[in-house]
Amino acid sequence: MRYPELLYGCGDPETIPVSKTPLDVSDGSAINITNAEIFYTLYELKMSVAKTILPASLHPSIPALFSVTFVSGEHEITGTFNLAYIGIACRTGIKPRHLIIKSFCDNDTALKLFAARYGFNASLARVSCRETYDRVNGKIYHEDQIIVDISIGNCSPLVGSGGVVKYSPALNACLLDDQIKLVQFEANYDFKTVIRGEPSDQIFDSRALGHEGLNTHYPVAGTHAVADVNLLPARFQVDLVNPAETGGATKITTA
Amino acid sequence: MKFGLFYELSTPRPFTTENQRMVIENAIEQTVLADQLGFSSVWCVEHHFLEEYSHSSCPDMFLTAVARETKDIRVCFGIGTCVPAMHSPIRWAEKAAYLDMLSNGRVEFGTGRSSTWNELGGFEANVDDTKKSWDEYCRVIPKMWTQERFSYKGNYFSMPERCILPKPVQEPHPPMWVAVTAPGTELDAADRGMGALILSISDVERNVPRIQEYREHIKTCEPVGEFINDQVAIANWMYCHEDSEYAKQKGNELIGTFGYMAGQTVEISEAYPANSYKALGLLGSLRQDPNAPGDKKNPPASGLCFGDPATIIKTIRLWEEAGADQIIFMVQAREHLPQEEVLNSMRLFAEEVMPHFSEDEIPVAVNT
Repeated sequence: MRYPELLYGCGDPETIPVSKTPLDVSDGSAINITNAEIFYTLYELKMSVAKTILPASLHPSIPALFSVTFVSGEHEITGTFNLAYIGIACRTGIKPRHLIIKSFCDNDTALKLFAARYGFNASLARVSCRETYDRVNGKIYHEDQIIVDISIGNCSPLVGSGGVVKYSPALNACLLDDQIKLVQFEANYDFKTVIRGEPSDQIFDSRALGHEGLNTHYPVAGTHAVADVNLLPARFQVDLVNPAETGGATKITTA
Repeated sequence: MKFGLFYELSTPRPFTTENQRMVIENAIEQTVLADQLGFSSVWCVEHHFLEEYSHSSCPDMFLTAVARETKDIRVCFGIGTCVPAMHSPIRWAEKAAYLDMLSNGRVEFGTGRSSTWNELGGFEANVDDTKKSWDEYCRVIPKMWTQERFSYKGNYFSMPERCILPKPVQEPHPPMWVAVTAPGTELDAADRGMGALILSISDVERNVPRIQEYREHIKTCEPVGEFINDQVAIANWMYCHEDSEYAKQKGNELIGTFGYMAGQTVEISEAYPANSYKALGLLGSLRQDPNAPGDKKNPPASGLCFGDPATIIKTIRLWEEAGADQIIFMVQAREHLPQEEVLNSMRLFAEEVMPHFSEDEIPVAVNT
């Protein structure tokens, strides 16, 4: 045998951070955020690193990729918030998704909402996202230290952006019916503006993010979008342990 | 109506020497049989880094092997990628002409630009410019074939005057094609007087307006070559068996296998959003989620050629009415079917279906 069988994650499921907040699927309504800002950067990483992070239930994307996403918005329940999360590109069966391995939120009410409705295991932290005259910059702070400071520059607008930008749904490990499941976080986007730029980083502290194998040496692209976002209620769960071909995604049943 | 074969050379894991050779050798055996049975063309893709989905990184070499084993069947690039990071147009002109010599004038040259991050990212290609470089390549390659000496100053390619050799056998040059996946590319093909190689989900109704618009546009084209190649080829699937239900079951398995392999690629729009890639390519459009119960599933495409001969004849009649000139079939996916089943399917198709579409067609009712 020259090359291995089908690529599976081989990470220890115990190392995936799990939200202790049980998923609440009782409210089936969507959350609408008008004029949300989404700052998204994507990087290639070594397949060996992706495999050691992803559990056996997920296949790494080919090539292996990870994303850093900032979402800034305002909602009547939470007020203004900044949410940031890092995800490893993967797929279950044939659908592309991103497993969230670390997330941060600067608003405690929003943090609790995102935990209860979508399974985020976010840490309360200072998060900022700012568009300036020549770049977009996102920062994540931890214990007064900046652990992520990334920008996109040389930006150019994308036209007809509704058909151009695709965000793969995120997967969050959380408790659902007393079991650990990967719950899909997905949304509809009505884009108003999108710019694309070249990612660069001043700081990317992979140790503080819990995965030293992650690095931003090979950026793919970054976008900043303003969009009306329709956060759908959690609809799908993905098995954490069993391979996609036997586990896979199933619909979340509500009582 | 003409019929051909279409090869991705999808390869099962593990990528052993045995598996890789089996795929290539089986494909060549199929093309030799196809030549004997009266199929008119063999098309081979160019893909890079697409694990399992396609190990066809050198279509010129595959087609050369086919050409030397066959007599009449046309050998067709389906397609050659027109991206500077991957190829110079000089090399495409040389390779196609060389194969035209080795095949004694049987080459057709399809062009395209790739739609995956696996490929464009792997070559560090400029994603924003692939459409523009493709356009430039389409215009210079025929001139390299037909002009004794050629020089050019362009945006994506330049060269001082040289004699590009060899010159092709076909006069004035091999037919030019464009791979058509995204909506509107059929018009790009028509405007340039090039054949439309439609690589989309094989739904007849969805392709009728595309073919009609292609026919309308090509009437006023400015051909990039010395002649207009006014042809529409439809990439499709075929499995022919006396038992229609069995054939459909096998066909569904082939499509499922293909979709699963397509799911392993990263579409450009998922990685590098660009104005030049607004629509999903073929691979992305195939990526439904079979694990998402409740999500709307598309019905089977109406133009797939799975079934007994009578069923397939009816389906091909639909394509004929839609205006297609040829259908080129994928007959295998990741060696899912035993080779003998593939060969038997081709034999039955040639025996029972092809005569109904030959020039001296047999007038037989197919719905009895």
